[in-house]
Amino acid sequence: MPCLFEPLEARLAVLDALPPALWLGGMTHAGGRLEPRLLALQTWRGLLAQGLNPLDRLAPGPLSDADWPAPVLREALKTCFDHLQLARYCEAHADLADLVLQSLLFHLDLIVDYRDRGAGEAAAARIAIEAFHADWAERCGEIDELAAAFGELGDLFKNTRWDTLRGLLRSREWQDLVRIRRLVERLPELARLIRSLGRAQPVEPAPTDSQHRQSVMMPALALQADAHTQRVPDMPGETRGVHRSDRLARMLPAEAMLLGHPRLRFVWHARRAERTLLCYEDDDRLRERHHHPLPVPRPQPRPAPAPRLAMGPMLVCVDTSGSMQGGAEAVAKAVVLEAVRTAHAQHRPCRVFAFGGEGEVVEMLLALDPSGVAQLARFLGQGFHGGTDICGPIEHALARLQEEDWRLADLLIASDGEFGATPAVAARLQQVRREQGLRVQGVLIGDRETIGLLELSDAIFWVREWRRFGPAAEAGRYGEGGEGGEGGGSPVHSSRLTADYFPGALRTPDNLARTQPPETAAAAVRAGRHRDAAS
Amino acid sequence: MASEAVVPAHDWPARLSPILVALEAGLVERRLPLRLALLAALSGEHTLLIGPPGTAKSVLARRVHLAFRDARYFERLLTRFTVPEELFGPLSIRALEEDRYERHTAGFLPDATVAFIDEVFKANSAILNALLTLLNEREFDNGAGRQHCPLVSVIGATNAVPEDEVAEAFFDRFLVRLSVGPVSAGGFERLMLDAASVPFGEAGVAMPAALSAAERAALSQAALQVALPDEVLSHLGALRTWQAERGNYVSDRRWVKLGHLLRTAAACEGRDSVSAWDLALAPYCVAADASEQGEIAAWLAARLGVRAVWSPPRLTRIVEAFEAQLSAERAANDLDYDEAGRLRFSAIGQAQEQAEALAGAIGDAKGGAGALRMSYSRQRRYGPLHIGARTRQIDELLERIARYQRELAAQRAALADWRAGSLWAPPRFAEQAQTVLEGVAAALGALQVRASEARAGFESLPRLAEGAGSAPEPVAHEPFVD
Repeated sequence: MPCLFEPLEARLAVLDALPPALWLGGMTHAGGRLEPRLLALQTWRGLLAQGLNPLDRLAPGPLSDADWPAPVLREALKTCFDHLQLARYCEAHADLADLVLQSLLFHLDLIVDYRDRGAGEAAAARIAIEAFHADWAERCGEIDELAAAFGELGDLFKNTRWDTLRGLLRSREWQDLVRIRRLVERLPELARLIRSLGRAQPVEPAPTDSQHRQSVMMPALALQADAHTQRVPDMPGETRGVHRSDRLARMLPAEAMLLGHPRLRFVWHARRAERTLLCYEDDDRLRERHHHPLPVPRPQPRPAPAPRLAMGPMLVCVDTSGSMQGGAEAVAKAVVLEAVRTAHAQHRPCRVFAFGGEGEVVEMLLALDPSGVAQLARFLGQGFHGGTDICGPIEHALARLQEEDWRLADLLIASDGEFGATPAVAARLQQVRREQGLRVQGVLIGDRETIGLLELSDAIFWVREWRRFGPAAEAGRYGEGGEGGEGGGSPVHSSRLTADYFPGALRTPDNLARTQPPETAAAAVRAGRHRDAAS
Repeated sequence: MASEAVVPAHDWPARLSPILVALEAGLVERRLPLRLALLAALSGEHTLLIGPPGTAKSVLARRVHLAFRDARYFERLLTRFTVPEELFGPLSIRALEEDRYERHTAGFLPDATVAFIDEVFKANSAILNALLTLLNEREFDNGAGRQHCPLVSVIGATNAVPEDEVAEAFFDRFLVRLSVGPVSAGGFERLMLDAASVPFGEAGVAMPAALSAAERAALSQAALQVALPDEVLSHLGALRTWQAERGNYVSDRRWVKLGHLLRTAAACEGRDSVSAWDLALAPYCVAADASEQGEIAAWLAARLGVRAVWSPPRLTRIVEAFEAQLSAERAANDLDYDEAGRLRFSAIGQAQEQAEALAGAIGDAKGGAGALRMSYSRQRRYGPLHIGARTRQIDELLERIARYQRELAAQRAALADWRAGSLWAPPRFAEQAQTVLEGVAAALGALQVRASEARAGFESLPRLAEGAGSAPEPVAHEPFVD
């Protein structure tokens, strides 16, 4: 930071603390002066994020001399903030405070325009605050709705595309999403399963289970080279310079001259005694290199007793084949929705592969932002048609697993199990499972376990009562429109059909009335009366 | 003597300038080393010249000596075999006969005012301690007593700085360290023509009266009166912190000496306080070699805001904000309301985006996105209050820019004063500072123009019709006449 202009620039230092979203509105706003306004914005942000209504503190607090917002607006704004409980929303959702302030700046900026169009001062202020109130009354509703569906809001408000969200919330797809959300609530085991997905088992997996390699600092002995010079007296070598000593052999000729003088020779003797004769200094230093072992930590790759990441990313394969239509489809969608919700609640990335027939793999990275939610809603709103080709999505998922970010992902396959993987793909899956410790969780939405799903999954969660979740489950008997129509699943497996063939097997009140309790029945058999009762 | 010291108003610049000019005569591209070496001498400090052989190091030292009247000069090349007699004089035999162990120092280093010691790092252990003491304390242990030395400044020279304990011991004794290299390609021609005509080591022109000892004393008295302003102190403190962060230890003694050098520089230029621009001398005192000096000079330039042309970032942001707001208001569409009849929150360009998204979704096989669509738009109109509010904000902004410009003008004036009066200013630094400040002034001017244009833009926004929005006046009509 240059010192030139520093005092002047420092007066605007608050700009750096404000998010860029507030710059435009904060700097060009019609009311007040720049610096107090920016300071006020920063204070408001802080208070809103703490869940406090900034206007509660306005009178005595740090803002008392702020000229934004204008004092005439404060009372009405305070009521408005209190009424909407905006501070509470901002506390719960961190990004919201900026949005509220941005919107407030926008609406209050319009006061001059209302006045230009003929409104009085008070009326213009009222209009602006009412507009702000109405805007946020609606948004708060939307926030509630989104929060109800997703549990948390993630990045939904990061880029303030309210129109997209608003359109989404009014779409048919959103209604589907809400319906499926309710469905999830009826499947608590499924939600629990997905939440626990990827978590470490209470015991550490055996080393063979995971070949996750990592560098471990191991003590090792390294030879440390240590160079130093050693004096070796009388070592032949070069002359290094002049120094003071008492070595006569290396004495300077000038010193020898002293000896010839009657008086100076005493000086010579004195110097010799004090070892201060000027002598040539031999370069009798030997440069040595020592090697001595020194324990050093050294990184060594070794299979670590893999602490499986408690929450890795999630890969979800969803069967969107035609055979899933009806209740199974609803359950599969619930799996996707719950996976996305869980992933975001636990801050895990989540990728969904929808697989139908051969080559029909749709891959979605579902982030909790407007586009991700729109994509999710679109997916949840569409019907399932097509064949069942498990190999495509598994290959896609395996390809993802090779990427660094997704190495520790877990795979979830939701299907009715009516498929089979080619031996090659199954073998590759086995290999990844062995080498990377991949876990595959199957969600079986059907009536019987199939080899196809069994050989791919480590564990299978079986949703047996999938029929109850079909859109037409309430419609009762299958096929008002005939077989394969809107009925709740395949006709062969409908309960009604069972009734047709085994009328006594259903627990209708009528049947129950006719059924004897076991003791009675046993007694009757012993008495030999069963023939009579049956007849 | 006393009367001379009392004489208050020495016009030091007028006194020193001719001396400097005369000293520089015939030397090519040696202005900065010569002046800094002289400044160090005036401040009572030693100078180390680092450079390859044949770069006029010894000439510089002899010239510095010429600046002082009655100054004894001593010059010696050190080797590994240099014995004490060569530097400090021979043993006095007569004194010995009187049982005193003394040296004849007359004409040797303890007797010199200005000394040049070549290959100073070659000093061996036989002379090292005495030499270090002499440099640091200006005293020489001679026999039983300590002899005070008239030494003003030692100019050391070396080809390269070795890394051993001798180097460390010497290095801190030299406050100013200068790298001298061969002349540049541009200066070569002058070197060939001029330098040859100058007698070896001696100035070719007649030397003006050199500085007397009394004048030197008066100058150092004057230097003591020079103030170190807070601004300079804060820069120095920041420099110290920065050096410490980079792991370069600079001794406290060196900082003190640097302060005195800066004061002396200011005193020589007839100022009563050190200027921030004087800090351009600091790199030569706190850094060891040329590359590090370059880094410090760059850091200093950045701190003083003269490293590169820049425009104050936060101020620029405000101007940009108004420009963005202006273009938004120009593009605003009056009919862009949502279904509840409120203006859309992020209205601009949205319809366009939606149209393109739609075209993309359908599959733009027929180039539908490019086709003209019927659109409903009406440019929004603005009333006087709206425009007044905007122009009021811009007027504040213009006032703010003017404040920046006033500060810059003050800085530029200070820099121009400093450059005009400075005897010691490193020319490249001064020139760069001036160029950059001119650039900053231009940038501020551009900001001002942009703000003014934005103001004009707001004023030329489409206006609401007079009285729009208010209830129309009741139509006056003639009462029916029955």
